[in-house]
Amino acid sequence: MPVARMNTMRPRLVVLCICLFFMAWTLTACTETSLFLNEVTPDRSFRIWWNEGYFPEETAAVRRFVEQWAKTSKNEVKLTFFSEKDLAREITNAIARNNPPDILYSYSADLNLIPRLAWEGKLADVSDVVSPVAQQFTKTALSGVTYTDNTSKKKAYFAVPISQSGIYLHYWRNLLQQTGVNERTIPQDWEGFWGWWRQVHRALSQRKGAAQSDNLYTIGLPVSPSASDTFYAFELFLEAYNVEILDSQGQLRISDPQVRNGILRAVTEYTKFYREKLVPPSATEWGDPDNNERFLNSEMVMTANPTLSIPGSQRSDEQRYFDQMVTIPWPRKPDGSPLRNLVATKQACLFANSPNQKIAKDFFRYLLQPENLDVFVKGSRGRFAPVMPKLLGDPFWRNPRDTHISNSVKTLENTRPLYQVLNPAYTEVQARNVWGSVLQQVALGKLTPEAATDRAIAEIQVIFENWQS
Amino acid sequence: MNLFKFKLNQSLLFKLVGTFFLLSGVTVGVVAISTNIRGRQALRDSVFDRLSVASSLKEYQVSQWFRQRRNDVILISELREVETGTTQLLGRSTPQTQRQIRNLQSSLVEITNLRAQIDHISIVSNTGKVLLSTDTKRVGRYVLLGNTTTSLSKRADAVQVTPNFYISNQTGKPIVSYATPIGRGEDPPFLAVDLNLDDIDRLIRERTGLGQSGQTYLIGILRRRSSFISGSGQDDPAYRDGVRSEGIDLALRGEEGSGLYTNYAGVPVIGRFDWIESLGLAVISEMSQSEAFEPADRLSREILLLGLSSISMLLVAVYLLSRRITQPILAIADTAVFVAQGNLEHQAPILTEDEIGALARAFNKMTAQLADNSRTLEERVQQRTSELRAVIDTMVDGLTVIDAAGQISQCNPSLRGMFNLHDQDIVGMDFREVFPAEAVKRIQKLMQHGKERCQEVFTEEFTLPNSIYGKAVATALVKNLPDGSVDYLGSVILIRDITAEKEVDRMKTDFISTVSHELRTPLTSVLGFAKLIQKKLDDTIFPHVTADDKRVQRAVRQVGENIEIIVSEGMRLTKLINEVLDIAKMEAGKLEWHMEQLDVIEVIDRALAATSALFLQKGLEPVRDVPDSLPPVMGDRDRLIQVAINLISNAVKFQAEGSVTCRVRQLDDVLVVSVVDQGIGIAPEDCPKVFEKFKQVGNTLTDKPKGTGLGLPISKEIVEHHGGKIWVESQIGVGSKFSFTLPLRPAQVAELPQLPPITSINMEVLLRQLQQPIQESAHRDRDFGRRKTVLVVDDDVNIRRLLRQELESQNYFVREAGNGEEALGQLLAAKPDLITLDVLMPDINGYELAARIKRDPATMGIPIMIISVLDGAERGYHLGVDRYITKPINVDLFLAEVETLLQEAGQLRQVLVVDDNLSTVSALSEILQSRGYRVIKALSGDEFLEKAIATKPDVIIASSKFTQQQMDIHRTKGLEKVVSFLIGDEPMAVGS
Repeated sequence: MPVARMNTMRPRLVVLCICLFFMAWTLTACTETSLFLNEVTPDRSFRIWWNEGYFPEETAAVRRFVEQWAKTSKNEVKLTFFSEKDLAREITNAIARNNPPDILYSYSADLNLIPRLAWEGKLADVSDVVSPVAQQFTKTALSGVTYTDNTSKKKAYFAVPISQSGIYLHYWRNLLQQTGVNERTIPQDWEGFWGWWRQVHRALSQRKGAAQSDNLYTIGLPVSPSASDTFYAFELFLEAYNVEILDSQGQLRISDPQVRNGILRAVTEYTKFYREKLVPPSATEWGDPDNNERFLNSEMVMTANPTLSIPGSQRSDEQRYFDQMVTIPWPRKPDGSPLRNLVATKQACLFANSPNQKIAKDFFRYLLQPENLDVFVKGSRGRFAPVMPKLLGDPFWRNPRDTHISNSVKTLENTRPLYQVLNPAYTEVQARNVWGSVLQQVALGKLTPEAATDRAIAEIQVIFENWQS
Repeated sequence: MNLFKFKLNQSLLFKLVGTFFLLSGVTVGVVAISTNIRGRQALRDSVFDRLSVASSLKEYQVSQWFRQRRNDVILISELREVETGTTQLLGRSTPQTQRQIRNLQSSLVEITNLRAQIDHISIVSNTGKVLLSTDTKRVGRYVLLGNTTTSLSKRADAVQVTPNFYISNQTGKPIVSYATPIGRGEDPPFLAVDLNLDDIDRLIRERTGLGQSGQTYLIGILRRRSSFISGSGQDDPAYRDGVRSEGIDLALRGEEGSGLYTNYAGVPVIGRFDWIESLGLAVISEMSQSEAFEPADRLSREILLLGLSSISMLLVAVYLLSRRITQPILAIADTAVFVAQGNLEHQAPILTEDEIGALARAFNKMTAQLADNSRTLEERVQQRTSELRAVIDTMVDGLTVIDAAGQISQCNPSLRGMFNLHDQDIVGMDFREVFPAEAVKRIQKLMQHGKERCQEVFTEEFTLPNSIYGKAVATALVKNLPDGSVDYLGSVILIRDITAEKEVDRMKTDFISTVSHELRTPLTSVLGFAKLIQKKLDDTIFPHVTADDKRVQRAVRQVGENIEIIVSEGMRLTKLINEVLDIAKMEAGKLEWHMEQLDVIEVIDRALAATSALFLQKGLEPVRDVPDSLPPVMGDRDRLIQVAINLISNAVKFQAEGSVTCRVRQLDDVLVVSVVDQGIGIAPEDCPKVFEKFKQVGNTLTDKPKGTGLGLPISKEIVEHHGGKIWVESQIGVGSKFSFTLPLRPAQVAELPQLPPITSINMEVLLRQLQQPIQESAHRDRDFGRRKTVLVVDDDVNIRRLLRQELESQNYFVREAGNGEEALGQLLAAKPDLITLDVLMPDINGYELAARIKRDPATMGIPIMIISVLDGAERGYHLGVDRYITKPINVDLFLAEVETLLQEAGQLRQVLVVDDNLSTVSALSEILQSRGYRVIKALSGDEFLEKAIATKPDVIIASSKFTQQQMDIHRTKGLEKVVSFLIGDEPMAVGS
């Protein structure tokens, strides 16, 4: 080889060698990352995923109902029950794998899933099912299933309304009696109402000292990010303070200083109970069932809870249900006007890419027959109210002795839907439990109400901006 | 780094060893890498299989466990004791029922003791109130059945419900609570069984063939976070808040698969993940990659280690081997260095007997040969050098070599002798300090030229000390550079003593002119008499010859023709002699040049006019192609006209029909004058020859020569003297184009002799003023009808006789004088009206005689005409001679001039020009003479008075400096009426 060529070859050779050594070193010293997934074949049979009932009879009612329909319609159906948390996870996974069921019903889907799916065009338009029977539904229920499909820019019914629930106030009459405060004196104005409970608290404190019972608290309002109840209850507080986060067109109004002031007042008032020790200290860590269980075990005099699940569970104990536990309407707003209850419309949806559209719609039509819906709703032991005013005529909902049902139905006469219905971006606000997070921080004294308000506002703005983009 | 580079580039040893090391290293590396890759692939597949088996096993076991527990729970709920006890619990409390309830309680406790998996068993009313429990603290409390418990249906076709895992308040561990209705009634109470997952945990933690780092774990959702349900990670509080990894995330999404990823603890693992849908759990089996791939890595490491150690050992061997190669080479290289330094005796050591040994041997042989050659070469060089030295030293010519800086680097004794530097060593000195100024100037010029045009040889002639005339020939010494240019190193200058040549040359010129003159005199007679004969024949004899006799007629015709031939050949001979003289003079540098600003157009017009007869004669058409105006050029008008005439007459001469074009064009800084003919043309090889002396191109045998052959060489000399060049472009049968250039150099003005200051005088005005008094006095000596006397002075009797005949034919009275003395005698005897003088005469020559005549006031008024073989018109006019005619005599011209002079003599007035500035006097005289005045010059006041009184001039032109003398003259008798002009220093101051 000529010398001249040797000289030009040499640097390249050196570089090559260095590269090879480096490769060798990398391969022997470093780790690999590679994943192999097993194929999952999509299931094309008609599948219904349903939330397991809170009460066994609720699950049983659904099962019976579906079986009956399958029998009469001669359709094969795969009905699967999931606990609420499993269902949330399973449906996310199924959507991700593009293998969701045909029909989905979940207690929380209207809050955090369906508005988003409708927006993304993943749900089938069920107007042909709902419209023929639309006049039978309440307006709030209909607006609760009206969504905009962003892909086709179509506004239509993307779910069928099943039932509705608001947020209700319960207290133990027997515990109140022990404090000596007369329940007939409960004021109906906002300030007076909460002042009255403070009075109960003071009375309770005196009695506690005598009875040496440290486990009894007055108010069971959750202030934890884990509980969606926190979100719900605080939204009602915002309603009371006339805070309009979204206008009727679903546009965010949070930058309005008036809105900020309203939020600030609501935050301040809501967390005051905890800071005044009217609320159990563990309320900052509660999950959704915690206030139920503690209230049932008489650890709190009153609590607020979405759905009538608390009284519903005690239905078979007449004394507790009719005599000891009381459901009362909310007081008027601070400005004196009646407070609208926030209604969540429980709904079932049909996936757009379901291969069994016709069967699914057939199922929906069957379900929406008032008598079928009635059976189904009643199966929840009144935990949910019917969305058909006609069904409310049933004595079940009108029994004056049953304050829980009658008072709850009364609060459902003046309602508005949740913000998720107006703008699917709000599902993200709920999913992240923006209110719960900041309320917890304020309750624990880690944030001032002002800072908490600003943080929440900023977070919501970011969520909406991201949603837009 | 530099050292490394140096080593890499310089050392063969390093190259050999380094290349071996790199190549072997690469080989070992490649083997190790490929082994590793292959090994890992194989291991990965095998580990996947193992993990898959482990996962399936665990999944099966876990599912099985849950199935059994479900069956246990349902079985317990269906126990008669339980059913009865529950009824008792709901019913009215009696001592019997109390006992039965206690029995139930103890039975349930027994079950929990039997079944380690069961923590507690409770009986709960449908409102959630705990009626009975193995954990007595719970009794009376309310629990949320739908929240934590997993309800089991007893129906055969019951939909499977996934177990609901939650964290136990008591143990802090994940547990599952199954609840199943007791009995078949409406709103039945429930049997709630809390199951601990210790069995599962144990099951899961068992390492089933997954090595040291292998683990399997279950992940579920607790408190909304993915958490350990079982597995070793469960114990670590760090993972209480949830765990994440790619495997976990995928499994929780319901995916099944396997892969290489980083696990929850940040350890790179190879893992398998599965989703147990019926349990809502992810089962994940993992093994650390380091362990899984350990065999492959170990193998690679071993290969690398083995390879590298082999390389190291081989490296030593290669090093030693390479040294054996390089050391003899180095020894040869060292020797080569010595040899290069000139030590040709050095020998390379022969260390081996192989190829390198052969190389060393060959090298030594080469060195020896080199030494031998070098010695021979040195001797030869020495010999040649001394030979050359001897040549240089003994050569007659002076030789010097001067470098570019001007230092003398060589010189020979002859040169030193030339410059009188016999005993000086001038080598190394600057030539400008050594040689005399003129020589330095010329040498500098030569070197400058050599530097500019190194390919050419230049010569210069100059005078050397000791009246030696030298001719220097310079050749540039140059070095050719690779880029094509040359580097000037100096000049070799050879100086030859050309004094002798010069002398010979002078002698040649003298000879030629003498011979020419000697030829001219007889020729004048021959031609003159021939013409006379011809004239007489034509005028007198032939008319009287009777035309009857044919023989007489033929004789008459032949005589006429012969005479004509004699005349024409005589004229040709005259021309030839004139041209030979011209050439001789030019070569001798003796020709006088009258450089002035002139218009080339005028030159062309004059030449065309002069040759118009030729055109007419041959029937050709002259074409004049000149621009309307051209810048003036410096030149000698008559000589340039001569050139133009020569070219035009040549063109006419060699052309039978058509036209001859004279063209003038301006090209940048030159004027190009071309004469274009349509004649026979000149062959290309003949073109350069036409400008050579006495050369006529073409076939001289067939073509009669038509000229002297000197016209073009003379033209060439003239043009070159003007700084131009002359050339011909021609094509046979088409025509020729002769062209010459004249430079338009303003600098040339400076080279011209300074014009006298008299030019500042407005000559027109002066002449106009002069005209008047002259005309007034024109009648004074008018002498009509008298026969004019001409005194012919010539030492040649034939010329005298010729002139007498000619003059007498014109009715002049002729007197003759054979020499100067005789002429002076004749003058004393009687004043002639005109004197013709020959110049070359014994004793007193023509000039001297003319000077004497003009100096004598008595005779100074007689017009003098010089007829000479010499061209001395200038000198003659300076002496006051009126006409100057050269021999051979053109009779017509001569007679015309005689007549003019005699007529003028009556009119001509004498003008006395006085100025102490000779040039002014000369210039003024020249102008006046050309206008026909007779001029007397005076250069001082005394001379002025003397000449004025002696000559009694008609007009006096004097400088204003001589105003006093002027006034004295006006008072002198006989000069009162003289017309005077005073010329001031101012441009014009004329007074009377």
